[in-house]
Amino acid sequence: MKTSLKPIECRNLTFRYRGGTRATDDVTFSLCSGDLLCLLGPNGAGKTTLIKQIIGDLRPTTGSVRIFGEDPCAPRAEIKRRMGIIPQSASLFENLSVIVHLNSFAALKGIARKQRPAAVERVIEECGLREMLAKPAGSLSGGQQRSVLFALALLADPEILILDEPTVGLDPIARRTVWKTVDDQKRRGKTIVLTTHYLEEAERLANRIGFVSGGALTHESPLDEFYERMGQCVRLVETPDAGSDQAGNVHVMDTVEEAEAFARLHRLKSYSIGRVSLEDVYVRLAGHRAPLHGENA
Amino acid sequence: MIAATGNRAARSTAAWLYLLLLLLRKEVTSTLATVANSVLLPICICYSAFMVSPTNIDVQRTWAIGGLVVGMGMTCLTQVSFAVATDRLRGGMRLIATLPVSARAYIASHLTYGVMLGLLVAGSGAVFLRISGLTAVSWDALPQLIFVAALSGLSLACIGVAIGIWTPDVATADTVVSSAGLVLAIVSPVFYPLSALPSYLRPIGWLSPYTHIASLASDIANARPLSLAHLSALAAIAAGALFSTMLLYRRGTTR
Repeated sequence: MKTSLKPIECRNLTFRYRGGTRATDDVTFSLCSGDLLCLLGPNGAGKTTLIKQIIGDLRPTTGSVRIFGEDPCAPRAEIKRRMGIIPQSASLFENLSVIVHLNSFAALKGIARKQRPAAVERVIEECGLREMLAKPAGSLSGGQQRSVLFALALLADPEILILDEPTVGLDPIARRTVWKTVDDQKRRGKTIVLTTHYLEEAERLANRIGFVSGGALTHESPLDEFYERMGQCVRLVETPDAGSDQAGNVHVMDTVEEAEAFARLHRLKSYSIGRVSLEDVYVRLAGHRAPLHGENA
Repeated sequence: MIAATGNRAARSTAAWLYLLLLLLRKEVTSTLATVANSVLLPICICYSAFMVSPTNIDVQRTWAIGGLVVGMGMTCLTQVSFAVATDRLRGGMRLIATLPVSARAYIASHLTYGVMLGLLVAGSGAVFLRISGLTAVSWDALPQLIFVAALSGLSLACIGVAIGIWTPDVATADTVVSSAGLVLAIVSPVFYPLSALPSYLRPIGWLSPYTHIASLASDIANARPLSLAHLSALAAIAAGALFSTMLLYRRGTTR
């Protein structure tokens, strides 16, 4: 076992489509066991292309990916045995029941026949699938289908989890169930790469945040450092008038003093000043600082 | 991580078989319906031949075999190409791509499915020919029948996989398969001898798997030795289609 090798290591990863469009641009990062990297970025930023290269579905134009020191494009089948993957656009087979999916995928993941019932039972419990086992996948809601996909990814108890928007379409309760499962996996030392547009999700789960923009990983750091990139920035939220159904305006200021001066200048009666949120950082990194000033919370 | 069992070869074989099982489970209803249709087709054609020529058993036999070949073609092409196209276009292939199984195992499972369909249609056809009294395939010819049916199913499945990978959407797959089936039936001498085709169409006829399947089926039904030329041509078509399929699959899944 190559346990001393890093679970995921990307060096100068660049991918160009045939037309010459750069989908990923010189991406370098590495993850250790227990790391949960959350990739943020606008639509079309290159997050999914980056994921595809990590799992070996796309060969990088230049640069390299190593999963436990091995190229995921070369012996893909062997590497994938160590990964649990939820692709963004994967779907279940409509006419097959959930339990057939679980049993078939347990066999296809190479789990020994004697261990399969226990593995299936474990993911049924972890993902709350008990009530839907006999139902055809086509009759499940979008959120339930994502839960089944999550269960399939966890079947072989993989060392690496690659989750491309795992909670999209889930209701808040189901989303929290997934968060708990992801958090459990992180505590068990799994290496996790997760993409999401839910910043609350990133804040709750990730210990590293990566920001992808125009194919480049423009920021990649622990969550605290990510906030520090905003310097001494604070957010000022105006308290709306009593009886008003409008949310208070939000302003991002460089310092507390500047925020207080702003409040005096505009004679704000009631307001609060606090730490910037991940959303503020996201918007600033995405290059849209201006709309924050005076934006509704 | 839960450890995998067996060596790499054993795991590849297991992956192929489990993918085949998954495919059969997915497609069980449509498979039965399509096989039933493919056997009904020669019955209808044979009935028409009987009405046109009630006493000429050779004509009836030729038409029944021709109908069977077209039925087999439609079954294998349609089922395999739709299975691949729906996997590719509705996200199933992305799900399978997350598994530790190779592309070869995926293609092999679909080709095996085609072989099974070929055997199923040929077996049902042989029973129909015996019941209708048109011909009785002897037990001695059974290995030949199995071999030809399997090779036919394989060559048609290769073309089916290629269509499934190439087609941009499921609706197009329907059109392409229907058109391909019709064109193959027109340029292939399944109801008449190859010599009856206009000379400029004969080379195209040789490229069609239907031509060779019909000729080999006729050899078996008439208790003649199998034509080596048609056997080789059918094997060459299967090999060519398999090669193109692998190329298309790699291009289609690494785009």
